[in-house]
Amino acid sequence: MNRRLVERLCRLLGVLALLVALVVHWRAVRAVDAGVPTRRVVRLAEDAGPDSAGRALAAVREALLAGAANAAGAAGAAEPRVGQVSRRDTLALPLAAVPDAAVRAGLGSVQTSGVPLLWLDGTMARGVAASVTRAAVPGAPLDVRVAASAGTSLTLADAGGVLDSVATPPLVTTWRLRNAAPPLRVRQGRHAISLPVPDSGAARRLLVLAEPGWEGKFVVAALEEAGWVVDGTLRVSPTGRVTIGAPARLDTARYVAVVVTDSMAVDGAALRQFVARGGGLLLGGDALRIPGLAALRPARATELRGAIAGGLLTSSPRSGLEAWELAMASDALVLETDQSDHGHDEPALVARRVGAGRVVAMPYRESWRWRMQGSDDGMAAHRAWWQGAVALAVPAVRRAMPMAPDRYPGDRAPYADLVARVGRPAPATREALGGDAGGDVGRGVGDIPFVLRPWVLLLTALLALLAEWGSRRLRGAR
Amino acid sequence: MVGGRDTVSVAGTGTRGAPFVFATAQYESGDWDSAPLVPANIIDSLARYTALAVRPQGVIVPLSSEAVFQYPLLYLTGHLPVRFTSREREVLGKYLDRGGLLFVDDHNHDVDGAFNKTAREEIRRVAGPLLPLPNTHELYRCFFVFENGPPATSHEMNGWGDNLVHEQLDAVVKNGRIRVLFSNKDYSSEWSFHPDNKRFLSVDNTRFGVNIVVYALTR
Repeated sequence: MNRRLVERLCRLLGVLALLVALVVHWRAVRAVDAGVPTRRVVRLAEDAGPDSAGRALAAVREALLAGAANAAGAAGAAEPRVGQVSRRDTLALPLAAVPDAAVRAGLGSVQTSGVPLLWLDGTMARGVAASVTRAAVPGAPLDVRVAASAGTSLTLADAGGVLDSVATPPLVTTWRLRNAAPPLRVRQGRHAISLPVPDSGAARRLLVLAEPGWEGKFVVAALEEAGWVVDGTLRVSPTGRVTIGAPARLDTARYVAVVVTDSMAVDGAALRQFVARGGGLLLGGDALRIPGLAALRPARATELRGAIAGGLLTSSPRSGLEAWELAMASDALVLETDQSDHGHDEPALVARRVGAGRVVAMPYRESWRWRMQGSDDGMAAHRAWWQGAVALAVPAVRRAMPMAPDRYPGDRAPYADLVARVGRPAPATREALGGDAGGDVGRGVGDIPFVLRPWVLLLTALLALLAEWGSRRLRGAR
Repeated sequence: MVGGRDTVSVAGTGTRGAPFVFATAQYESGDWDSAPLVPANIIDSLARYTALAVRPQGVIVPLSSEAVFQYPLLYLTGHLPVRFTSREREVLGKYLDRGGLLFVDDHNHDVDGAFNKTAREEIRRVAGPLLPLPNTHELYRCFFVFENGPPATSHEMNGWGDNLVHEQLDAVVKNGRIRVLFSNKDYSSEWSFHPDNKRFLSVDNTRFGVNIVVYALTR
């Protein structure tokens, strides 16, 4: 390349850099003279664990106090000193976890008082999602499902310590636990989730209302084999009763559900009250014909459908049972169907919600025949069927959540509550905030592009002119 | 074979399940039909004392037939040696596993008798060893109350058979439920009379039979 051309280009670059630096400086001086606020984003406190929110709120308070002192002590200064915050600065809080209600309220107050506030979403709501479910039957295992990003090891722990870890987790990792000491904790890198362990309801009992007979006997047997503690009173004669377990007054504190297997006289008002208060009710076969339960049942039994001869020994054994045709209530939901020999599906389990509880119905009569006259696995299948039906009737355990006294969602949805009070999170990356925003208060970040910063321009001009000068000095050298 | 099925309308609201049917087990060896009046007598007592729906006639079911699965309570008795066929053992094993209850009564009232020895051996092979049933068991309280356990029979008191009054019954219990109830008290002789003759008894001696049926239907 022509040496003279290079020298001219270097000279031109140096002069241009000097001119741009002069323009940038001139604009900055004008801005200060016109009173335009210096836009700085001040990052407060590195997120350092689950209680970082509380520390962040304390840092906000300290920053505001320091800013006020700075304004009072250095009145007239064009710019706050390094390490201090002016009232025009935007405070950025990195949050590693969704803060509790008090801190959220505090941050909301800061925001509404006019202090610009950003928060950086480093909470557990990002990166890892998990659920814990457990069927409401005794001894049911806990199913833990975790959706996490690949690449970083995933750890599952309970109150007793680490239960398992996966070095390279798939998109969804599942664990089946026999039991766990609450709370369950899932951690991937800096993201952690704490999960409550759902109650199986096994601590409470079932009440079976049945006539003495094979249906009641084998339903009780199936439920007891499944681990339930069953109470019941069977009326054998006008004065003689057989008790199962220790039957007591119907109450949701003692019983999770009532199972009725026969058409019999029942205390409909007590059952209505029980269900309305959150109890479960399972109506099997002829129990759908009890007039006192007409207001509760999810379906009305209309006509009796005969059993298919030999059906108990087929792959669809319930076809071998007599069943009622069901006329569904308008708000009932079909939970399971069985294929019929008429080419359409018949409802096998239907449910409706009544008050805080749930009523489940099944159309089959004399299900004990499935166990006794079915195939070799009929006994286990009969047990699993009743176990599953009861699990549907047993309502999920609910815990009362404190309601926020204001219009915000409160602890029912803490993340949404935080967004409602403070606003959506700012981009969490350091680049989005303009570079190495450290943990110290007052490390300002300008909004001038890197290549236009004065020292960059001056350095560029110096290097270009030095190159041009060197080239001229060495022009005759060999 | 799988056939079609019918749909029928059922009037009214009260619909009861199938009535209880008293079933007697018929086995290949021995004299299974040695107490033909027992079923009628128990059925009479059930109708007399309880509100249970009971079919007026009992049935006789071959132990080798899967028809036994329709009758979760089976009555088996005899005097002669018992040797189940392999098919009878297979069916009885399934029957007991699924929750059926077999009531066996030694019609000889003799612990040294052929029936007692062979029947116990067969039961042991199919269901496990027979163990004494405590006299506090709910079987003795589930309808009529028998404070001292199983009621004695006139055959025990008269010194027939082994000349013993058996204090307890034996049983195979699984999951807290009686699967096999074994008696040496000779209820088959005690209860084998025409039900009309109960009017000559100060206390109906078939009441324990009611307890066995009620227990089977409720536990």
